[in-house]
Formats: sequence, C-alpha cells, structure tokens
Amino acid sequence: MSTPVTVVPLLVFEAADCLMAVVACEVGHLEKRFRDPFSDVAGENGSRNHFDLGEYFAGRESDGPWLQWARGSRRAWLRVRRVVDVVPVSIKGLTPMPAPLRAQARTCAFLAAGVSGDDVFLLLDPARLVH
Amino acid sequence: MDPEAILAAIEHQRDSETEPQAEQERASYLGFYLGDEVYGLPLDQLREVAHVNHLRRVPGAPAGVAGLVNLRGEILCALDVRAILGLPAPTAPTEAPFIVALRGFADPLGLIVDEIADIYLVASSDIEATPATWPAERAACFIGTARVPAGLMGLLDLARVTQV
Repeated sequence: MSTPVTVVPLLVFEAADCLMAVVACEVGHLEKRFRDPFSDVAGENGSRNHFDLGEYFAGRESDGPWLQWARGSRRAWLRVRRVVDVVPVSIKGLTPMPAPLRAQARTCAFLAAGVSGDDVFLLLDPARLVH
Repeated sequence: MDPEAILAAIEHQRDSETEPQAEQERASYLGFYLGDEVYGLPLDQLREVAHVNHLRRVPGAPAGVAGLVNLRGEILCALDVRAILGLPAPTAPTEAPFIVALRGFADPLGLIVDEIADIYLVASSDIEATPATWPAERAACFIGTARVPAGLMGLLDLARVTQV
C-alpha cells in the first residue's frame, strides 16, 4: 500500500528577480492597481504589516500587484513583480533550504525550494518576514 | 643461495610490501579552472559534474552562495568558489559553467567552476604547502598544493570551503 502524496497548491510569483511561492489558500486577494492597501489592515501589534518583496530582498521596489496574505490572525500585504500561476506541488518534491541559507537574516524567510518546469522557486513563509 | 641473492630477495620482499601502501597514499583529484588558475578536489568527494543550465540566484544569500540549481529535479545549493576564495569576479562571466555535485554533506551541495581540467593522481608526498604569497584567509581553504601539468593546483579543503 503506497503512502498518499500530499499536494499543496502554491501561488507562484516573481519578486526580487526570483521565482517565489506562497501557499495559495493563504492568499486572500490581489490588488492590481496601486492604492494604499493598509488603510484597513494592521498587524497584530497595530503596526502596518506590509512588505515590498523586491525592496525587502534586493533593495529594489517592485512594480506589481499586492497580495493579501493571512494565516489565522496573522496577516500581511506582499508586493510582488508579477503573479505567474497557481501550481499543485507535491510536498515530497520540495527541498528544505540548505544550511547556508537557513542562517541568514533575510533568506531564513524561505522554507524550501521546489522545481517549476526547469526553474527553481523559493517557498516563502510570510510569517518570517520582519521589519 | 649466495648472500647477494638473499639480499636481493629481501629487497624484493620489502618492495612488494611497500608498494600497496605507496599506492594507497595516492589520491585522485578532479582538476578544474577558475579563470587561469587550476584547483583540485578529491574525486571520492564528488558524485557528478554537469553543465549549469539554470542557476537561480537567491536574494539575500551570502556571497559564497551562487544560488540554487535544478539538476534533473534535484535542487543543489551552488557555492561560488571564486567568492569563497576571495578571487576577483571574472571580467566576462563564463557562458556555460559547470557544477560539481559533492557527496557526503547533509545538504545537496555543488561548486560552480569555469572549466574542467583533468583528473590527476597526486601522491601525498607531492603535496606542498600553499604559497606564502596567498592571503591567510584564502590559504586556509586548502590542504596544500600539487604540481600538475596544468600548473600549480590548489587542493581544496572541502570541509572548510563549504562552511559558507
């Protein structure tokens, strides 16, 4: 009897010249046009919880949409360059981030890496982003 | 049997006993280029050499990490040996660099290199200290050097190099 394969839909997007992904069901909606998306959103401690991922990882502002991310009571807005697709990914197909990247202040926000076509994407845990 | 023949037999026996030991003291190294310089790593610590098709850089990664490489579905953490050794960046990036996949590490690791030189058999007695002109931080990444046809080959200390 074979072990069932757990498949998770991931929302794949570009940010900071990189292919990243978040768990699709944790993304509420996209704001395609720029507006202040924080007027109705506050972090757990009342601070504004928004991250331009281009600026966060590469120091260059993104010019794409904002994603509303939520997990339980935690929520954040993530600005990306562009959304690529939603793809079902087997958990077994993900590789935990290697030690040299787990220890870094910025890259510790990546949980794992996976393959989409020939390319590699990074699975982002927005809960690990820090101001 | 005259004394000369006995002596010859003893010498022969001594040679036959020492030959396998001498053979064991030789190790094979994969020689590779970074620019014009040749470096080597023990053949028994690598498992594959392949062209790099897609190198995905990871934003925020330390300088010693070139990125992640998809090697037939397996994701390798590609280390930038040039950066780890403190060598200057190439004036023109290598069009199709190689990745040398390593064995024996908890994470799937590989080294990005410019070109493959050859496989060299190096006797431990031929391993010399690194040149005094090398910076101490760079010299610490080597177990020594060996003279091979391609030049003076720096023998990488993989345990040290992979501590990015």
